[in-house]
Amino acid sequence: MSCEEPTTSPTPENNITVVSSDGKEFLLDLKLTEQSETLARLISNFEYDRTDVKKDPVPLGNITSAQMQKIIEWLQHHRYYPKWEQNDIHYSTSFTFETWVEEYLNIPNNEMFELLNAANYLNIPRLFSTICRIMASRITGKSAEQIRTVLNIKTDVKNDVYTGIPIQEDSSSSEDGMSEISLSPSPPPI
Amino acid sequence: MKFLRFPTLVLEKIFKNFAVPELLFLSFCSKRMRFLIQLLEKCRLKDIKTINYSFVSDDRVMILGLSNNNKPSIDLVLTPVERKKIVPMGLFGMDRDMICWTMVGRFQDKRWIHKSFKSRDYLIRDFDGAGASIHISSTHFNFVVWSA
Repeated sequence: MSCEEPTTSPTPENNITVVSSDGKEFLLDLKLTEQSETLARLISNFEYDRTDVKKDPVPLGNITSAQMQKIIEWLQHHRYYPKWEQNDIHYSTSFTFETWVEEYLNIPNNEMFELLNAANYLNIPRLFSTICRIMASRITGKSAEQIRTVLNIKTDVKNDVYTGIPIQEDSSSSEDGMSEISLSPSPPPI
Repeated sequence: MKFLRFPTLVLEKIFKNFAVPELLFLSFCSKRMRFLIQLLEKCRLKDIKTINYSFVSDDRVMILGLSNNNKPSIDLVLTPVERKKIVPMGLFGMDRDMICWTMVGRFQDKRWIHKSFKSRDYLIRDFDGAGASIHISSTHFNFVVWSA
């Protein structure tokens, strides 16, 4: 899917400021916020789309600046795409992605989970569904052990489903071991 | 961040984006995962009314799940990498190895193809209508189960 981008540039009146959890401010074009149901409703409720209304910065307490940058990149790429419609995808196991999307989501699982959380918080259905399908593509054709590694799931099954052989618990999949790679910077000191 | 650390509502939305075969393989990961999938995707799993197992050849099993409107919700072809590792399933007192062995063994003998091994049998439970059927042809062994 691709769309032609009009050459009009956003005017300063059509921007709002969002503040990430670590205090960084981002200027967002109102056109971009249409893709986020959370932001779109907020703008509609506070009438931020009117030029005579004072626009206060919108605090996004659950989203870090790194996540916000990544999300803005997504919103800008899909700026002129038609509105996302949830298709009947339950029964389809075959799916393809744009090259841009594959490169965009070529990130460690830990970062992907955080991005998924942010997409859920901001309610961006296209991003949420795409991440889910990418996750599904990463587990397709893999054994239970490999899926556990990919999704960082600690097993509570004593024997393998197929072989009946006892499973050795992986000590590296503990909670502490996964905090090494993270998209989000460490939270600011309180 | 761990997958199971997502809030339940988020997990529900994630599962909705997964196809049934993906959920099936995901459910093998842990008991908690299986419980969550059963709990959150109950409607979709209950929607499957018929499951068709086809033992296509010696090492391939086709599983097709159909809902009420004959829409396929499971479409799997399983080809075991190492047959020795498969735990036999109990089907009317026969395990999978026995069925495959019987099918292959008998079908190599051409005298049996159109005589003893061509049949279509049904078993239907009286009180709710659930049942199973076995259909054996010269090329396929189909085992179908359905709920009421």
